[in-house]
Amino acid sequence: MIEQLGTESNAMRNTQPSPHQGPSLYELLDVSTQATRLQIREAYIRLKATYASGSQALYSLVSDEEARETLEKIEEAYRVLDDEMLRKDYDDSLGLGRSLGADVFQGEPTRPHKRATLGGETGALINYPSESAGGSEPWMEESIEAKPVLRRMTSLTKIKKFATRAFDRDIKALREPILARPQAFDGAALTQLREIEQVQQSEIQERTKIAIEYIKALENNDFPKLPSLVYVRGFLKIYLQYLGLQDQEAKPLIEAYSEKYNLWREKNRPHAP
Amino acid sequence: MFEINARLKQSNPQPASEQEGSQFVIQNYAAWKAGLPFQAEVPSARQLPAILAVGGGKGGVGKSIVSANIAATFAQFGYRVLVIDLDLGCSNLHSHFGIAMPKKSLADLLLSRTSSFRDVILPAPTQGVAFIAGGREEVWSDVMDQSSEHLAPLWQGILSSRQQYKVDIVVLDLGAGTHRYTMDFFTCAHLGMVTCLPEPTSIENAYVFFKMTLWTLIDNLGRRLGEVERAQDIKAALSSLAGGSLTAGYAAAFRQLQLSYPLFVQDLLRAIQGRCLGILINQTRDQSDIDLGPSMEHICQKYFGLPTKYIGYLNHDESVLKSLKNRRLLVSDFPHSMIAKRLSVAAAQSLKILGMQRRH
Repeated sequence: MIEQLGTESNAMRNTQPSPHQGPSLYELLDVSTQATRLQIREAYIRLKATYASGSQALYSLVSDEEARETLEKIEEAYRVLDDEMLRKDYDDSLGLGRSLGADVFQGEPTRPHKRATLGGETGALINYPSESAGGSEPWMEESIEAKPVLRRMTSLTKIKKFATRAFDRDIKALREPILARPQAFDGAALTQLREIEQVQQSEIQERTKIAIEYIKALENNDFPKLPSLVYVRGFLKIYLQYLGLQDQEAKPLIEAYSEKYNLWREKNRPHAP
Repeated sequence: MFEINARLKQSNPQPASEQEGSQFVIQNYAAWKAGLPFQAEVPSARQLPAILAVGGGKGGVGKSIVSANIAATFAQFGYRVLVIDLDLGCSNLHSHFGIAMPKKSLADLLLSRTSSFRDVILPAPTQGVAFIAGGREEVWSDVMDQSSEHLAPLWQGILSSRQQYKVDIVVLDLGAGTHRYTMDFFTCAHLGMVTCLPEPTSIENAYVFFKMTLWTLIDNLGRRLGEVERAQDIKAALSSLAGGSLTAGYAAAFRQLQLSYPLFVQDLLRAIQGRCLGILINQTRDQSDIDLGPSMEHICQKYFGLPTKYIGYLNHDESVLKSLKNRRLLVSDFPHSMIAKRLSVAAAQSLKILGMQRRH
């Protein structure tokens, strides 16, 4: 994913909001908009030490109160920028075109807080009347920017633990036939489960961190390409979890899959000399 | 006894050819010149030595030790270095080189005017390093509050030192406090290094020093552009706008002022960008002291808007005191000590900022 960050960088940079709108999250963390996750993490650790309570570097310049506020903003910025999803969303709102793979999450039907253009962003910002209480001076405006991000973020983290439609009523109904016959569960059924929820393989990969090859092998019953059983069971568990299956629902499915896997292993076991 | 580098013994360091000058000096020549505290003729960019000033506001933070030893380290890297003791009236750089108060000193050049610049340059007990002593204490006291005009021969000497004596790097050892002379010397440097101890008092003074650097640059620029009153206005405005909180630092205040004084502030920002500030943490005892450097670097960039780089740190080391008692230069007396290694790292970092290659 990292190598894709560099695309269309400079052309889009010009669309960054002008400085009087307060620092962006990137400016808060002192990193470029093209920074990798590692760079962001390093910057975060450095700044966290800088603004930590009792930090000597702030002596005589910055009050404890302000250091705490800055630290909060930095934490916030890091939480957004460290999460690929949130970061992409934030980049969109800034009008930065940092592409993150070919529209990985297209299948997501209810995308919250989607902001189309930079113009829309500024318009939306004015709609938060409470924030302008922060101060009338131009350089106080940074708090205005930080807060909408906070709001958006909490809702997103909730969603992304599971597939978007994992708990829809009609999805449960559609899943029922597969769950009713756990013995027949195999790769094809797994694919079916995924397609019912309109989730892409790449999303599964992103959220569960299972390598895409293994996801494909699991779904194609391609046992030779799979690692040993312990891993396969682990993969299935988090895969099904992400699709929103309960543990007791997933268990018989995993057992059935393991059985098929073992059968194949038995068959292909090299004969003892 | 005094050799640091055996290779230097065989052949004197080669005088620098014009290509080997500091990239930083050449690239930022115009911007650097704009912020100079004096109106003197300046040689062309390629004929200038790189000027490194070591300041820090507070006394006892190791300015002279750093000056003397980093100069010796530069010499180890193959440069010709001139160290000047500018702690006027309280000079003790010669002690760090392990020599007694020399007869010829800066006072002879500037006050009694009995010696030329060449005459006051004395050999240091290290290959490749020469130094100028500060001179007897009592003679300076009358002059310190007069105008800086009588410093002209010194400026002239420093600027032409590369043409005349093939000096690559001039190291200015500044005094404590933020006296006008001290700040003038500091703003004249390409790389202004601030030494700082990891303790609140020293940090506070370092920040005051940074602030005074900005103030002096505004003064210098005002004088240079013939707009002294405007410089006063800007200083007054800065005082009222900035201070007290991070978001209202000087960097932010400059953005404000740019609306009212677009040209002056633009020139000022350019003059600021034409020099680099370095932070050197001295007497570190644990990791948190070392980590202070990057933090201060960040604060200086954010709050003061100054281009700041963390140069390195020197650990707390008993060998410093021992070498002083032995009356020898630290890096010659304890060439394998940890602090000598840290000095060499700091020197390498400074060279990197100045865009110079190590020759050895």
